[in-house]
This record gives sequence, structure tokens and C-alpha cells, in this order.
Amino acid sequence: MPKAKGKKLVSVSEDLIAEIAKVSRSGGESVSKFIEDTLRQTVEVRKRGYDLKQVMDCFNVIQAHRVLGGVFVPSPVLDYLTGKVYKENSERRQAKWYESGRWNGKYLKEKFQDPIEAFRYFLEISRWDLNEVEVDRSGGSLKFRCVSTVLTKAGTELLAKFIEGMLEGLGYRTEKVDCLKGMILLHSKR
Amino acid sequence: MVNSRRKMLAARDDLADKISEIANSKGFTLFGMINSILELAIEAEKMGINLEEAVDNYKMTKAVKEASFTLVLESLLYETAEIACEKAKQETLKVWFDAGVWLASQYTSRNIENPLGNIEKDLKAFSWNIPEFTIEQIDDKVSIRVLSPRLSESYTVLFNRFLEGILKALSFEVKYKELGKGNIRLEAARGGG
Repeated sequence: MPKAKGKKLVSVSEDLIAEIAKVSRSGGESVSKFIEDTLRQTVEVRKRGYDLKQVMDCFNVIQAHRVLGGVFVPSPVLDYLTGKVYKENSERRQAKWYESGRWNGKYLKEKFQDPIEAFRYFLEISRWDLNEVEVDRSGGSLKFRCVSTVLTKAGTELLAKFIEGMLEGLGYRTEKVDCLKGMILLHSKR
Repeated sequence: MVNSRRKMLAARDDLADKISEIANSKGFTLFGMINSILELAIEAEKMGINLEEAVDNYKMTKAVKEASFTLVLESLLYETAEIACEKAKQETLKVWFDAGVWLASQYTSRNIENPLGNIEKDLKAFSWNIPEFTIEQIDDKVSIRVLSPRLSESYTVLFNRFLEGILKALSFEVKYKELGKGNIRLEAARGGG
């Protein structure tokens, strides 16, 4: 790295410099200030143990949640509410969750370059009660698996319907679902 | 994807060194690392946010996780809350109250200096469905204001109980309460104040 006084020269793609010039001009700052601020923020993000890409992906997914009408609720409250309501009217509840999932899936399909990855991250971000979320794609097939040690039976069944709906919204047809308390295994095809 | 034609630009040497360390730890070249960072920053700018906002958002999701909150669709939540209230109002109220107590205990157990201030900061971030949500504490008195036309009547009552649970866990006693659809006003005090 060539070195000037207190500064080092770093190489940046010309394309990016042109892009930076555009965005920094609109914000009334110079290219070098934009680069310095970005590098400083990146170092700060890293010091806190975060990864910049994760931070940005998370922002995109949370924005999608906001647009889709997601709200935060204490998990024990959600478990209680779904348990209370589910027993007597499970089919109607499942249909509602499925429909909501379908709508969410359609949105992700329109909004994200890789909607399936967004779908996986969407669940990871929104459902802290899931210990594991796995999506395995090969050709036109998709295998989905999620595991939770705390999810109730009603909660698992409703989530499974929501995921089925999401996948349909993403253009996949469910072939097989195994749903046990705290575990959902799902195979679908495009 | 960026092209390979490069220009040299001056960067603060401490920052360049740190980025170089990060690049090494991730198996990237310095050029690759700097360019991918700048690509993300450009993406953020185009979305109208800066990296600090994105980091705040990320921190919020961590806080949400620690507080055991889950994201659910607003329409599903309000409807489910409505039905649960019709079926077992007292029991449902108790669950929300207990959730409030539990949340506040999470903060007090961390021995942080101002638990209510931290709860306010996090709850405001979590409650994006509530456009007006303030918790003001002056000495031993607290005033809470919630205003959202979107909240259903039942959900307002339940959310109020959740807030009362928080206050109770922090040893505040509710002195004044005003409740209406989408509207909560609570005044509480500690030590008989």
C-alpha cells in the first residue's frame, strides 16, 4: 500500500467511484468524505462484532416486514393467543395463516433478487423461536426444514401453513409436509 | 459487478489498516474488501439510509431477540387477540401483564442504570405500528402515552395491561389511567408519590 502523510492510497474500481460521485453529490459531500465515512463506519460495525453484509440484509428484510404489516409481540403472548384460538377453529386459522403467507411470498418474489434466500432470512429474522431454518434447493425442488425447541403444537401447525403459503407465493407447489410439535419438514416443487 | 479498472484514492491510514485486517481475516484482497464495502454503502444511500441507521436497525433486531419478541402479521394478531379476549378475557389480560413483568425483569436483571429508559428506547423501536408512543420519567413519576388509530379496542386493553406489567415490575403504581380504542394514557408513581 503506497503511503502519504497520515494517509494511505487504496485502489477503488472506477465504476464505483463514478457511482459514489453520483450519490455523494446528491448528499452534498465529496467522494473522499463518502469513502472515509464508509470505511470508518465499517470499522465501527466490525468492532461491535457485526458483519456489514448481514447488517444490510437485515435492514432489507425488516423493511419488508414493515411494508407487509408485521408487528412485534412477546412470544409467550403469541403462543397463548394462538393456543387459545386454534383449538376450536383450527381450519379457519390455518386458512388465514396460509393466505397471509401467500401474500408475503408474492411480495418477496417481486422485491428480492433471490426470493428464496430472502424467505429463509425472513423467517430467521422474524422467528427467534426457531433454532434452525434450512432451505435446500436443487433444480426445481425445494426442501425446507425448521426446528424449534419452544414452539407449541398449534404454533407449529400455523407456522407450517404460513410457510406453505409463502412458498406458493414464491411459485412453489407443496408436495409433502411433515409437521410435528417444534418441527416442520416440507418438500415442494416449482 | 464492478469493472477491474482502478483508481488510487487516499484513505486515513488507521482505517485502511483496519480494513486490511478485516480483509485478511475474511480471505479477501484489500481491493475486493473495499469495493464490496463501498457497494453496500452505495446501496444504502440509494435506499435513503446511511450505515448508522442500518446498524441501529440491526441492533434493534438483537434487542427484539433478547426480549423474546416475535414478528407476526398485524391483522392476524389483532384478530387472534380479539377472539382470545372474547373467550377468556381475564386469562388473556394476565398473560399480557405477565409478559410486561417478564420484559421489565429482563432489563432490571442486567443491572442497567436506567431500565425504563432502555425499555422505552427498545419498545419504541419494536412498536412501529404505534405512531405515537412516549414514556417520560421525571424522578419517581412516569407518564406513558400511546396513540394509534390502527389498534383494535381489545388490543388496546391488552397492550395497556402489558405496560402495567412493566410498571409493576419497576415498582410503579398506576395513579391515573385513560383507555380508549387506540389510546392509552397512564400516569404512575413510585413510593406513593
